[in-house]
Amino acid sequence: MRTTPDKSVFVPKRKDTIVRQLCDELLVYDKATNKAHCLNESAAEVWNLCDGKRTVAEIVPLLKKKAKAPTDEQLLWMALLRLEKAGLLQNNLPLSGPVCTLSRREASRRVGATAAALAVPVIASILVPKAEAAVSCSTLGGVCNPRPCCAGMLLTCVAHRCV
Amino acid sequence: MPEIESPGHAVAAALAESWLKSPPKSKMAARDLAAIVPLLLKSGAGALGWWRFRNSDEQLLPAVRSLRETYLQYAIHSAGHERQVVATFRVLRSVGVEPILIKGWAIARAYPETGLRPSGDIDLYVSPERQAKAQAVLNAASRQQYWVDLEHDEINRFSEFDFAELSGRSELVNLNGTEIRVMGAEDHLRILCLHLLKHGAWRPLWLCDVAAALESRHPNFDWDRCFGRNKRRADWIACAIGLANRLLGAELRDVPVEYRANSLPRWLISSVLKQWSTPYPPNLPSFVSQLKGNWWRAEILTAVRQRWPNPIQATVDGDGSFDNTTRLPFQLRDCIARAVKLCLPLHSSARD
Repeated sequence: MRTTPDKSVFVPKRKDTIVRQLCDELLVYDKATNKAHCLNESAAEVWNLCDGKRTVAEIVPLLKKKAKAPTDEQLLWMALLRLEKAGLLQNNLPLSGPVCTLSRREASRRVGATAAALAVPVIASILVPKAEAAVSCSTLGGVCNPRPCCAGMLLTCVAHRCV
Repeated sequence: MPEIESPGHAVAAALAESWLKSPPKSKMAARDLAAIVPLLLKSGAGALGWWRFRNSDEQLLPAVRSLRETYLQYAIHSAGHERQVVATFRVLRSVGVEPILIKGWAIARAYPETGLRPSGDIDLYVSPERQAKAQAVLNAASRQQYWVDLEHDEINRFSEFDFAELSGRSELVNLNGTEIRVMGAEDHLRILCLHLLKHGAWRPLWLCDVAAALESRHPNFDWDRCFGRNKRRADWIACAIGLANRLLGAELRDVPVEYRANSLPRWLISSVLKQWSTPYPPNLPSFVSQLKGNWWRAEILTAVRQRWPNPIQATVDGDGSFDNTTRLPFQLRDCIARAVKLCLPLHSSARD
């Protein structure tokens, strides 16, 4: 049985990450692993409140004040566990104790089905694929090295010019 | 459920009002959406597609999963791009060059999230007298991690206003604590319209840019300044805005071009939709190598057909009117110009 380490302090991984607030989630991109982690509102609150100085005991009341749905220390630990699993914490959670045993189903039961969507911390991680950008391109007669010729115009790069 | 006539129509329907904070719910069928997802992704409109469909019925969600991945990728990329914009402004200002940002982040800020509008390079307009200096600084090895473009046809070829005028009407906006100079709203909308047409409107994202700029304009927007003094260019701009209205549902209330939106030449809409329907082709082999040894056979027809100029781009290159007459003269002119430009470098390399 783990004793709840109220004085525990957690440091989120900020180095080598890009953090972007999106419409209804916080995006944390880990450059080292090329993974993007989407934190829902409650996981994002925990991420933002963890600063390497505040203890768990200090974070809980702040979280209760900010959260839109009922929350408690168990849910905080659940968020920390998920942040750790996603590789977004610099230090590890304690190895034993009750704090990490709460499943998503149990958490949903505790806070109620409606509030669960808001209260239960969720982190979805994906490997980031390469995507097309809206890079400008060279038109007829334009320089095409290193910039590409416009594909839509069916041009060819000859002697560094699009023809 | 409305019948979708072509993939181009479906792309237009998918991106309709996608630049709004809360786009309207789409009635598109899942199979139609699934069919155009590759077109959205390849044209750089994947994130906007996700934005449009993110609150749709569950049956559409499997089709848009890849759009969501692109949305996240663009969001990450935009953070890096914004840092590059700030860094570029700092380095140019350090040598006394004050650039004006166009397109890219300058228009991305008109969208609900800047990541919805991906930017591949940084387009800056600088005073012609300072351009060489700016280019020299940007060419330094340390700055070559990203492409900065100082040459802009849509300004150099078509603008009636010089740098001093454009600079005088530009605005300073905050980006991560740094003041970034962007074009005035009227000048920027004109540039976005001309850029769209110059490129033959082949990227639907560029028409979304026109719509986003149009709908985010300030209440004192000066239409005379936007259209400029050249009547033909003014009509081009009106046509681009008309396209944004007809294809993407951009709002034309209080916009003095409503008449033009309802009288666009027939070939204009159909050529845009045709382009949006076609998957972007891989780079063609050079015309010469394609015809090597076969120039007298049918291959020449195939090679020419593959390179047949886009009617919008050919009209702009020929400084023509967007009327209902055939585009053939402009397209033939474009072919000849292309052949000349093909021959010149070959001739000079043969001489060397």
